[in-house]
Amino acid sequence: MSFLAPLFLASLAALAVPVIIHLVQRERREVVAFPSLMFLRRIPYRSERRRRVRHWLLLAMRCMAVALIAAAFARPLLQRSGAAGLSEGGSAREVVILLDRSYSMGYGDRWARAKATAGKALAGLRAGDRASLVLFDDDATAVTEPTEDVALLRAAIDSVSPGSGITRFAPALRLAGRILSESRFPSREVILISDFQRAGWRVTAAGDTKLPPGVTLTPVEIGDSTDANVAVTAVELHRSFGRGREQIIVAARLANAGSFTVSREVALELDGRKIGSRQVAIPAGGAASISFEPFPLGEATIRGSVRAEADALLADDARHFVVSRGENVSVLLLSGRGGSSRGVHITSALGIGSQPVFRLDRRRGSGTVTAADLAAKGVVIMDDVASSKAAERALEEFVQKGGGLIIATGEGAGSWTNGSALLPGSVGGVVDRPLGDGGIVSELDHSHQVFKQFATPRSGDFATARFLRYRKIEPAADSRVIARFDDGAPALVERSHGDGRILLWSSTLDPYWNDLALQPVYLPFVHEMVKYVSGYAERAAAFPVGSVIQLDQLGGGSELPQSDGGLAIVSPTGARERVARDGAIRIREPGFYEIRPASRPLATPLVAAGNVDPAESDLTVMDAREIVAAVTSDTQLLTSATATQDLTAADREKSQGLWRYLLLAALFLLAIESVLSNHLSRPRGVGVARS
Amino acid sequence: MHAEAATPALHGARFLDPKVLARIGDIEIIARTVVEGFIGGLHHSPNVGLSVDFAEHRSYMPGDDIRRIDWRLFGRTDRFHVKEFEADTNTDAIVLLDISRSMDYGSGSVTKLDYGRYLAACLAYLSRRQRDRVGLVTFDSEVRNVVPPSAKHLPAVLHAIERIKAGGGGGWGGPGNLERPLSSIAENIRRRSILILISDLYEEPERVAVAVRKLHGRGSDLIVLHVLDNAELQFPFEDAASFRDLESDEDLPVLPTELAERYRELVGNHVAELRRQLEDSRIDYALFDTSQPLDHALFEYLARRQRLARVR
Repeated sequence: MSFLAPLFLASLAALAVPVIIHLVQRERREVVAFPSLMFLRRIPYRSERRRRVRHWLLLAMRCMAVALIAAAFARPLLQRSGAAGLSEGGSAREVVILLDRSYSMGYGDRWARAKATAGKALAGLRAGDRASLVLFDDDATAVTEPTEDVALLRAAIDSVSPGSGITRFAPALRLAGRILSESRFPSREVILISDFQRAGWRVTAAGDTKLPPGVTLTPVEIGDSTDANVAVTAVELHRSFGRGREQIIVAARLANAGSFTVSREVALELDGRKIGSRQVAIPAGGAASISFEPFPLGEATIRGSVRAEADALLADDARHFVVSRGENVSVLLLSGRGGSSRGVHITSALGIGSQPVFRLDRRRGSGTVTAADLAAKGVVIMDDVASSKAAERALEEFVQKGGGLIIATGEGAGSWTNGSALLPGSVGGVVDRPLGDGGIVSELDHSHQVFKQFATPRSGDFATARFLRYRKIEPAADSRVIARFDDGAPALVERSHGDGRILLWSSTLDPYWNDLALQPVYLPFVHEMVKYVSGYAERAAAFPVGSVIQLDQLGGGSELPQSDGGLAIVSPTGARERVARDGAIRIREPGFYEIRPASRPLATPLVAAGNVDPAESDLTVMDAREIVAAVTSDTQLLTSATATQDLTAADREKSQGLWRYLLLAALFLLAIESVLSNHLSRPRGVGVARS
Repeated sequence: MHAEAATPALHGARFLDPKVLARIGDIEIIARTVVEGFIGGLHHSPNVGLSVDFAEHRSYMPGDDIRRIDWRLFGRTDRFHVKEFEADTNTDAIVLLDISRSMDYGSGSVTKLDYGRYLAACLAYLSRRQRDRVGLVTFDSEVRNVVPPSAKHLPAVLHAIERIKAGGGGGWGGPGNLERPLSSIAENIRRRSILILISDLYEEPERVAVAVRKLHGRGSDLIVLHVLDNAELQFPFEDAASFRDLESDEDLPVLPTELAERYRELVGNHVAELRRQLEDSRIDYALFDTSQPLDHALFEYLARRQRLARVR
């Protein structure tokens, strides 16, 4: 039960009135202040304590009458459950049942109760009513068109089960709004059946999520009081090299949303075999991290899972990943003439790192390269070397085919042919900056991949490097300047040529003309340049459910044999799907997706792992009225928020008519009270000091 | 020093009526008027001036105030001698004034608290005239204000008395609570003093005796001035009324005509028992009716002071 005008309940304070009257009426004499009643109190038979209630029954009746009157004015409203409410009503209705099928609905018996609630809502439909069923998680799908066929709707409800998506109310409400806005029925309702997770509703989503005027929204909560749930929320893979072999250390993070500390066994499975387990205690509302023993990587791709002991919500008890050997980027470094330290810094920088591994081939003193030198190379770095026409031709062909080229200028770089299609700009004379001060790189294009990781604060400061010399570069029309010195001169210029990329650095990559090589940003800078020109893309270990990926994100698909007929995809539950080779692959469920050429069903598949979004593991419940208030108009709010299902004015009045009975009861009580008090107040023999 | 002593005890020592004093706003003027008039009526009583009487000479000691060297004697003897007076050995006189809410009662124009204030001011003034160090403590259920005894504190004491608001204090809060403030006061009095307790003593006599013995027990001399309104003594009410306790705000329906006699009897017994208990403890006790002049209080004080001087 709720109240339409709960403010009137404040008048319950009037309950004090009968009590006060009861007490005060008995003593109306003058009050005389006296220093102390110490002596007067010792004469008990002449005085009487005033604060004593004599007629409890009268008092109770008066209080009850006041309480009834206050309750009547507050307009009590009989509240019915959403499903039950549908069984009443006057005119034909258009009902949209929104059924939450996010994976949190698989918790305990929530899904069974949700289906039963939807069934009750269908049972409340009368002849002429229409209903449609919308299933939603992060996306909303109308399973049925608006129909009067209850059996069809019932079958649709029976056939569905919780998915692997996360709760998002806004798309479902928008779809319901669209369905109802096309309806001509005078009474339109939305019944929202969900566990109402807080994570599913963003206040910002309310702006463009409004139900049409006149639509009533009835939330039906399926959630229960318990929120105990343990989830594997993240898995990290750390590569290391020991005894000449590449090893992987798996670390996992587990979260406990419940109110008690729990202990769980967590296992690591590789290719379906359990290879290790750990017992971990996770504090209430907290998280814990564990790591497993390292395992070696072979040639084959490994499918791994970190699996916690099963609890009421199974979907988030495991996280899957795919891991294979780190990729190599083959680099040819050509260093110019100079001391023995020439090229040392680049060599050192590229000697570090495992993702990818840079396989470096180094030559000193000459810029002469042939096509044979460039075979099987991914990237060529020309570190302050003179060029020749033949070398330029070989490099142009190399870049054209997808190779990467980094040119660092310096003393010996003046021989490059200006106007060459290879160079991103013409290389001019040397610019000297005043000694002791030097120039700095002051402008970086943080949107470019090379500088993206320096975009956040404290992620690297190029301004600490001092540049005493650099060459003047006139960028070509089709090139892009991605770094500049403080005098505006280009520092790094990029150009694409064919399938490859070229970067031109206007100073040295050794500490001859600058001290960049001595700064912390040097190593990531060199790595990012090489990765960029080589077209290297890190392969993701797993993808969240709901994401759409392309073959490129699985390593470019080079591991798959070329064939016609697109790709055949087998989902973790065995569902098969065919897409074009450059088509999108949608991750719909957690587990391992196998991707093969459609024409080669026995080929070794490319594997992608899918995981549920851990945000759904947080079962914190929101107040459903918040959604009602946000998506319904003000005039609807009163009835919607109180979850009434009644449609017609008569129905509404019927559920609110309790006030009449309360008033009648109050009048009846007051009548009896009058009779009783008259009877009790008849004169009797009263003592001298009595009231 | 009896309740009946409110009737003339000294010839010619009848002073201003409390109702007249009530029209004088300045407490210092009241005190001076009463005390000077009172002393004037004593006809140079030997009780007065003790503190300024010469006692003896003694040799000057380094550290003595050179203003006190008797230069005449120096002229005669060529030696430094210092004059000593009785005043130098004077005592502390501390007025303990009850400011509980029950004191804020007066059937006439003067409440018990006003009367207590006049008494306190007059006694402080008189004490200072006697070269005593004067102090003041006001209390209800707790100690509210303390002016420590000092030869220079008369203005502070009079100012503190002036500031006491009628009903400003709380009540004692129930039987037995007189003991708490008085215990607290007793713990803070370090040297032998004359303590003058002014209160309406709405407490069982046994408890009053227990409470005031703590003051007396430290070697101090104690004078208890019991102040009651005439209506409290005579209970002149006739109409049935609800009587409200000023201390506890409790109401009690009362038919005065039925119980006045019994009330007077109880009050009489109370006063008699108080006197007996206190005198058994060698504590001076006097009852004051606020409709009577103040001279008796002053006489009581001086008589006590004289006795003390003799002991020294």
